[in-house]
Amino acid sequence: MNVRGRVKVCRFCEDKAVTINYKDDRQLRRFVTERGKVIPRRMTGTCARHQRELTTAIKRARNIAVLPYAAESAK
Amino acid sequence: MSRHYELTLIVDSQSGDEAVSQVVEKYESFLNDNGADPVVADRRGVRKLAYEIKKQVQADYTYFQFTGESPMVQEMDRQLRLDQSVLRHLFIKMDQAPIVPNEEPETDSENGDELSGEEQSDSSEESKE
Repeated sequence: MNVRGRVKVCRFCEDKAVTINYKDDRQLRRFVTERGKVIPRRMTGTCARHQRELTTAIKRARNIAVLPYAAESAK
Repeated sequence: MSRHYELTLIVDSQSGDEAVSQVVEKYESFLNDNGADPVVADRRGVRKLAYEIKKQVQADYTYFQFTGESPMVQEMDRQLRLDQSVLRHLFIKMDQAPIVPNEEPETDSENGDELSGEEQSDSSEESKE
């Protein structure tokens, strides 16, 4: 998911109905790289407040094996 | 002062559905017996893990939402840590009270698989922290 080169608004500010949930891996996966790293704000356009909530959610999700800590394709 | 919590319980699914149910029910009654009210259980069934835990690639997920006292949570945390069949658990403090199923008409888009147990067929899953 490459969103560089275009100004984006924060997804969570735009749509108040979208909440950040550590159990929702499909949603969180949009904010981590294939290797499982958190994608920086400058690339996703997320505002500071929501990025903060996102990181917490991602860390929680990692803890309960909903998201990987590191590279998924590690064989 | 009692607080609202959400507990994620990941149980080893290798020993079969019945054993899993037993473990989940054990903790559900633990909550009930120790003054947690209400207790809302959301059984999600077996799910693939993002990484292996104790050589397991899949495990059974259950979410509990409840309101209770902190000493009870501490004691439960201790027991969960000692329990071999519990692969992972996570307590989260919530700012909202648990939503008792039948008074919550909202459906959530996020529920992926339809593997929920019989005790709660409508999974009214609420997202909040």
